[in-house]
Amino acid sequence: MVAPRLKSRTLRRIKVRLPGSKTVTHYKRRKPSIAKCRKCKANLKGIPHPLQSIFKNLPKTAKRPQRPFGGELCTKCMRAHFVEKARKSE
Amino acid sequence: MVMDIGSIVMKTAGRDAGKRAAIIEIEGNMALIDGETRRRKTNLAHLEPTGQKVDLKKSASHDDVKKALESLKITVRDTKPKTAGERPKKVRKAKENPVEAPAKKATKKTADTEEKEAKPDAKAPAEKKAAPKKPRKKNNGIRQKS
Repeated sequence: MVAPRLKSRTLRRIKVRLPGSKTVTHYKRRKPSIAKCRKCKANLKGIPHPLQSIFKNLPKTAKRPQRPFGGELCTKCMRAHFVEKARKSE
Repeated sequence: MVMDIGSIVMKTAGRDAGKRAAIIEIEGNMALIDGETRRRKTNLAHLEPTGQKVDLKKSASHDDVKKALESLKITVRDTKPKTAGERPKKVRKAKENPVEAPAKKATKKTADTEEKEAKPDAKAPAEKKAAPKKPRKKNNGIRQKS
């Protein structure tokens, strides 16, 4: 009988085969979702998305790209923003 | 808009994105720029003209660029040249009150131990050297910038 707290789908289920060829279900935390661009909702690259406890202990430089709007906008949207800004300043 | 020497551009890619600079040199599709950014080569595709222009000679020095951009109220980034100084040497602290090593306890010698001490086994394997410790994996294999 499964423990009542494991019956909800909060935790993901992983089937693990043990050395004695017995298959058991392990319950693990779900990973957070991939970071998205604020403007176009595209998946952002260069941002890891492990469990929060691991992400918290990463150095700041490993958490997002080192350019303006890094971790907020994708490169396309970031460039479009600055091209517009340059043209406006004429 | 044509980009030539002296025109003010905005960098639109990389860590210098959003910063203004003047073009100093153009070679093929690469340009040498200086201003709010570092003095660096960039691809022309990563630059956007702002329509402003200053009088600059080809491959003008950093000071010339600084003077020219003052009129446009653009603060030029200055980099200090690195000077090789002396490396700090580690100095060991001398112990103020050296503690004497505790005397070894005298163990009772039994008949067996006496024999062993007298005839050390030639075949006995030499003491294993401690294997160098493997560095622990950090951050669950997530790539980090070096």
